[in-house]
Amino acid sequence: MTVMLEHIKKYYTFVDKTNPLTKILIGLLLFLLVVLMHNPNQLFYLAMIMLVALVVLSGIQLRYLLVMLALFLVFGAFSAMYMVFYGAGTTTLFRFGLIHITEESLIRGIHIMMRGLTLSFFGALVIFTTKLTDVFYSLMIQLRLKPKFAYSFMAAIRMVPIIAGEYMMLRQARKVRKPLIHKRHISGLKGFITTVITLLSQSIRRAYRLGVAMEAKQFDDGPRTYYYQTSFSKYDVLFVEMVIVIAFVSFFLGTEFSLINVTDAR
Amino acid sequence: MAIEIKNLRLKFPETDKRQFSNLNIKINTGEKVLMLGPSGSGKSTLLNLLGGNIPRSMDIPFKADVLDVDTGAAYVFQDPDSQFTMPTVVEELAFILENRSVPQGEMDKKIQDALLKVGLNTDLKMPINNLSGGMKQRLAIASALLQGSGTLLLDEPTSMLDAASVGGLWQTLRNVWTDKTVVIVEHRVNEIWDKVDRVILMNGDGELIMDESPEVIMEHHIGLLNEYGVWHPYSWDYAPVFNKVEPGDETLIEINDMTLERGKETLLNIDNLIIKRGEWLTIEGQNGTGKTSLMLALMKLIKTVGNIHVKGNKVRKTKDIAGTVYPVFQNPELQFITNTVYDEVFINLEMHYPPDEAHEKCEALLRRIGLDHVSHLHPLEISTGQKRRLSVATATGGVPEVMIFDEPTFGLDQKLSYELLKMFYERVEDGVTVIMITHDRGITERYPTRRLILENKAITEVRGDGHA
Amino acid sequence: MAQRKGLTLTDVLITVVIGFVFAVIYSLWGAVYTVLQPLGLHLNELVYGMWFIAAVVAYLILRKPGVALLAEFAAGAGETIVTLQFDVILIVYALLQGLACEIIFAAFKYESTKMMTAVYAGIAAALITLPIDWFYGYLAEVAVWNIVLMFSLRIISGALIAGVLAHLIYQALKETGVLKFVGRRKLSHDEGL
Repeated sequence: MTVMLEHIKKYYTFVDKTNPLTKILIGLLLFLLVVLMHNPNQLFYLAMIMLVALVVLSGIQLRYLLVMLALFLVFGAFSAMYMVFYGAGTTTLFRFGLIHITEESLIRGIHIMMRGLTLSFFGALVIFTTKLTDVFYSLMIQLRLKPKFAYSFMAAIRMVPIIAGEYMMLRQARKVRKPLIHKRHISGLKGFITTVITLLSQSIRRAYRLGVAMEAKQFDDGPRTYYYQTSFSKYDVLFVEMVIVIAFVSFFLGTEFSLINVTDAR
Repeated sequence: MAIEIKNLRLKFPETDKRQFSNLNIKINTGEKVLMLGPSGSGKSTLLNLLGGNIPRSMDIPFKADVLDVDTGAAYVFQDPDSQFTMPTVVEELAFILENRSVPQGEMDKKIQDALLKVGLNTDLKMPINNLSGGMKQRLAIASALLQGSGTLLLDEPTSMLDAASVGGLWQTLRNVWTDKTVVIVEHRVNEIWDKVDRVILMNGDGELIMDESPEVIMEHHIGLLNEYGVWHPYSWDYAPVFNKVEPGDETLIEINDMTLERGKETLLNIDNLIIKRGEWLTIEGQNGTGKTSLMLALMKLIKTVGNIHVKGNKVRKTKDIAGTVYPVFQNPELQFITNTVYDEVFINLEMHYPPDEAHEKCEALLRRIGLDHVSHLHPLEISTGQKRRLSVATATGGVPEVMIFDEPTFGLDQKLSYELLKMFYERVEDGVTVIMITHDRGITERYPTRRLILENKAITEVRGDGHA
Repeated sequence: MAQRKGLTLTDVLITVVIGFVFAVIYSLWGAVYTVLQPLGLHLNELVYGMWFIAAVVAYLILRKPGVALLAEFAAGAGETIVTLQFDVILIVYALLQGLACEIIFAAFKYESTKMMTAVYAGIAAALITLPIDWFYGYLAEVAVWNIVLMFSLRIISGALIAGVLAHLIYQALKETGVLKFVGRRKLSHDEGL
């Protein structure tokens, strides 16, 4: 995973050294924060600072981040459409059939979109600074997760490219076979189910064989040593402090330097 | 340690027949034993018992009067994709040491030593998915070493490797197995036949029918090996002999100025390649020379530079030639789309014949390729050899003019391989052009009318022995 | 040994891999979902049920406690890995939806493989996240017809996709013979050996 990112990653920061569990926990708290934050001005600053944090701390090439930002914006806009078009409000901006855009619904829609963006920015920062194996080692070492779960996940991650490759080959194979048979065998729901069945059945066989192989390698769910040592450090404290400061700064800016004259999106 | 099993009875769930009844086997400490048998003989099942996979991980009902097996035995399996747990080389090897609770400080040294012993010279942080097949199997041997077991159980460790890597892998295994008890299940045995102490032959009913030194078997029992259809060093002396083939004059495929790329690297350049009707071609070349890519490029399934003409018409999309040129992929599973073996063939025939005739032809075809007794089963449920034959049958109906097979004899025993070769020959006789990607010298040196050898990013053509 | 109660290593591996196969499908499905969004008419809700199909399929295959929850979590986490986006909401939702299925299956003592059981689980998973959607998406502020439409479509989708379709997949998978060695089996050992 990190190997894949290495060629677009330019530098490392303290976030790379922060324990994955800290980042996940903060992610959950951030989720609560954005759900409870109703002032669009505060949320706007929170989203912006989060974006800056992503750009500065991820160490990822800017070009790559810009593409991602564009995608986030498009997806975010789509997900807020229902609110913009059909949300309640009194100041009409546009009306066409069922669609009724009001100032209130527009602002609420944008608010919902900014919630998504804030979480996406933070999520991207986590993805770009976390090694997947570290997540599972931390879960085992710090949270006492049973090894059978952690190693099953790590093993399954290895299989993702294999499953994806198999799917590509399956499509090629069907492309070749399609002209020789009636299309009802291969299209629509039937085609979807047989595709899923083939992939699932191959993967289940593979997982079964891997289970046998792992236990033959004397894996059991008991005590073990760990190749990677993960722990909490001063970087975790720094990270938590940073996010708290970000939250307070956006509160402050949103209150003191309002951009729009609305303090509650509801 | 010595292994002994007495009066073993074993039956797979949801089957009527026992796999083993009253099987006895004894293997002495330090012995090297090769187990042979046709598919269905239960050699892999037996190997799983010898190291305790049954019943530790596999829930298969069995009983035995004596069961002295080595539950700490190390295995090397055939499929790299289902024997590794971790993403990178070093993490995979550390996984073994973690299982043994080796202190973290001692891990790196042990890992380096193991890699040195198996001659795997690679970056420790290399993702396993980026290794070649041969390197993956070396990694599997390194893990087996780190397990520190006195018993080594090898379940077709070379069956997914090309000819060039097989010799090296066996050499590596022999370097490390001196003081170990070794039991081997393998199809292709040339490289180790005279390196083992005993050869055990099993029949299709799961009975041990011979237990002798390799020399004695070679001298007195070759007939028996042929009868059970297992490979042995002189197998090809007993291979089917066909009439020489005289290819037709009509050009079916012409490729001009084609370049195959992988990433940004050039894989293969083809200035001009002409394929005629009724030819039997083989494509050889080491792993990574672009054999499969060539097949995909020919079918327009991957993007390439260059021109392909089939029967004089320029090919732009897969659709243009599908039905005329038909590739059979290495994983036959991916080509199946129905719920039964019967339907898999029938849906091809129903396009060309009225229902009654289609059913008749379908039954006849299934009989001919020996799948009539499994016609009611799911295509994913039958054995590898049966899947291979079925995937050949999925091309019938519209009878393609060119058939391409990617490693068709891969992992098949002697008998099934020869049956497939007979099927191919029949096709060629009917005027179909057969193209086989294979690294089996036994095949390339006997049957093709022309050999295409992929080397140094180019194709060398050699007239084949099968040419009239 | 698969005899042991609880989840064996092989059970966990199979469950997680099933979750990941669906994660690949979810990621592709995400495109369908997004395309249906712009009208704002919640047509996307019609395909919503796809997002908890993993839990139901994995349960039908293994029929053990914890499988539905684990499979759905794996599918959610897998999607994070496939799309390279760490999405807290997605993980929380996956856990809740898995939990909803788990409750239904527990009510049937982890024995039933009937289609109706799957349908109930699908509906439960469709309902469980509505309270969060309510707060997150300010649903109280949307036209009533729009909300009713959204909820109905989501429940129908849960029943059809996570219920009926999941069951079809299970039936078809059973025919491939791959399930002979996995999951909870009746004690039928010895078998005259």
